[in-house]
Amino acid sequence: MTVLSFVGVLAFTILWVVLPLLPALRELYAPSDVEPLSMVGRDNADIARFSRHFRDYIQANLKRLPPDARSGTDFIGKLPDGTGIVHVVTAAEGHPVAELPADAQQRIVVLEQSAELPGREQFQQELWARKELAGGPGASYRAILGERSVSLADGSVVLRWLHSVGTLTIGDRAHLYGRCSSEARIRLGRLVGFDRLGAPSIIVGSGSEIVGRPPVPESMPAFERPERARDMGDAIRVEEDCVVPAGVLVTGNLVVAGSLQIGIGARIEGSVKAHGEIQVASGAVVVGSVVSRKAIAIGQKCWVRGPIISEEQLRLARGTMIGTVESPTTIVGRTVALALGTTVHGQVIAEEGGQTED
Amino acid sequence: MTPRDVVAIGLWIVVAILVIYTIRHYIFTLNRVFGRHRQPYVDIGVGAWPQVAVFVPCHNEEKVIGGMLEALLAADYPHDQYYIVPINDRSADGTARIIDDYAARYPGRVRPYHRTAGKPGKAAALKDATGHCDAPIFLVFDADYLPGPNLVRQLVAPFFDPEVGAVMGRVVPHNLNRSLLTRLLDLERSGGYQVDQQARMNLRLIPQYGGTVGGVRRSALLDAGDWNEDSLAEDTDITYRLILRGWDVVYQNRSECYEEVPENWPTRIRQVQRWTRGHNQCLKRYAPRLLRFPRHMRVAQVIDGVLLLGVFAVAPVLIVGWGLATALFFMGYPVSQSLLVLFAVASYSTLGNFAAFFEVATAARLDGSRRRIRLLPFLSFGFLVNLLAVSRATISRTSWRDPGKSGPTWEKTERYRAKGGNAA
Repeated sequence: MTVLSFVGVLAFTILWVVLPLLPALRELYAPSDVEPLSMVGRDNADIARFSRHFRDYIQANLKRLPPDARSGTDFIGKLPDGTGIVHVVTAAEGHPVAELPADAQQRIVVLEQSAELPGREQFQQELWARKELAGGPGASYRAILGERSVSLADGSVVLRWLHSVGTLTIGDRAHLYGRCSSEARIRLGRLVGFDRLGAPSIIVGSGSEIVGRPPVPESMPAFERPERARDMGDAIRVEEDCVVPAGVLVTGNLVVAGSLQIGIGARIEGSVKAHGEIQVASGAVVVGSVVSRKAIAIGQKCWVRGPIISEEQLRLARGTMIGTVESPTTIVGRTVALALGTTVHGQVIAEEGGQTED
Repeated sequence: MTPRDVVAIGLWIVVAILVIYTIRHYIFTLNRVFGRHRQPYVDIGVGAWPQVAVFVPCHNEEKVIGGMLEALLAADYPHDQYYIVPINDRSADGTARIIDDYAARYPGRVRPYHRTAGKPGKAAALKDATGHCDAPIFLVFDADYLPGPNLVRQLVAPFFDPEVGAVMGRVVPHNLNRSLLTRLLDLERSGGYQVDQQARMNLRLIPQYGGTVGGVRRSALLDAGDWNEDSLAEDTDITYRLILRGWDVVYQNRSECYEEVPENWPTRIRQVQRWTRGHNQCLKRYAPRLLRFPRHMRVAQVIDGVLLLGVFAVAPVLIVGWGLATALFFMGYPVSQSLLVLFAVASYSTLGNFAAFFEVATAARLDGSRRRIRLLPFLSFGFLVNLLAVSRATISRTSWRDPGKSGPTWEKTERYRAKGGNAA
């Protein structure tokens, strides 16, 4: 072997070894990804953040429009960032906005006056209603920000988010994908699909079915701890299925390794957790939270003051109340079913979708 | 049985241990790729928030404590429901003055606790402070961390579950542009949290309370016997005592907090060796109790618990394996080629959070950071350094015996931020 061929083989071998390292060496000497991960400060639980970001965005862009576009007349054109917009200023109060231009549904729509939409529209960009908005049946919206009350008729669909400063009313068989919130209250019709809801009061149905909190009896027998129970800090831990009999008072937290049944009219002055399913019978009260790794079913006319967390199905029966106006809370389930007459003060999170019942 | 057979059996045992850890890492990684992401508490945005005491143990932290207090004061938790307790343990620099200045400016919200006596060290400082605070929830942050405004609320949310005894958030390096080491540590942290911790959460195993961005329930802490001031790793120690008592430990991947990682290798080696000694202490203390298979624990939890305790003990096992394989070669023993291949593959997928390249690559992808993943080959260097540092710490006698009467001392990682800095 000549020296030349040896050097050639050596060079080829070195090249062969270094080849997989070239991207690494390039990233080392010419870094292209050295910023810290920009994830700190994210907040999934802030249900109205998209609407706030949109308000900031649209207000800033409207201010940057040329003076003739801000002269108090209707404007059809583009925002400074190139997004199409229809700015309806002059429509009469309560007048159906039937005269929207043909391509309005492809643009951001800003309504300065209260309006009723005829229905069946398919808005592909956001809609900003500065006053009351009443959507017609069967309409589809990308997102809505209403500065006063918003009412969507039967069969409406919202694809990303919906926020109303005033009361939000949703008709039957509507579907609310993404985030839906109100700073006043949300009223949901029958068979409404949803992902995330948030409001001081979320009411399913007309409200006539609401029964309020169960009364507190003057005296209740105390819960007798099961055989396989032990103290664990401020909780009682039960290593098997557990039944809290009807009308019994449990003081403190209860952790159950099996399933848990809470009897009619029982009262838990604390929180409960079960590794199995939890069934709360009608009229029961839980002053703390209800947590299960499986399904949770809350019976009729119950009251739960704290959060409800189910890693599977969560079902609230007719007349149940969750949280209070003064102390709102959150309920979370993989799927959530809300019966008519249910009231939730706070947030409802359905990871794989929720629905109101018929 | 010849000496060669003894050596060969030793090698088989080593390979078996490494293969178990490799399988563990692959299960975790595949879970993160294909499994359901379990985060039951992350969506709790409103609730009747309990009172919280936020502990920040400090020993000569004048470079960073100001930034930490500013960040905590900006938290969006109800102001009347939380207070900050900077625990100043005999600092010799300006830490006490800075803390007292904040206490004067934010009366009631910043409540310093100055230690001048007692055992030194983080665990002892936390134990003293615990005795002086009656809030039902304690959060604990290292002084060099920079929490976002939502973090206090996010870390408290799991405590609505009455079984949760401790919560751990995710650590994200923010000084990664300083050196190759910081960038490698960034990858390593991604693997450790995004894949390892979250997979243990998904699989209901034992997520580890890491002691730097997390919290504990007061009643659970006291039920488990309070902070162990003789422990070199009070976080791992309390994790296992809580689990053994029946409490749950929760990891929240979305509760992220910035930290400073070591910028030079000597600091990093000291840090890893400190972790090794603390972890091995816990291995000695808690593995026998776990192996009694407590009735409230699942078998998978017990196995994971033991393997987690053993991650730092694997390094010398790996080195022994290399020695045995080499010895067998020179003894002329016909080692199975498939065994050697298994050994080679397992070597790089074994060491705790350190060398699991598959985990790190998956984590980088899950984080959406596709370019930094190019640095993956350089993890080999970090792997070798860790291997030697951990092995050295493991075989030292101090790694296994309890500290003397004086207890552990403050062993701190060097801080890099400018004095009084408030980097965000």
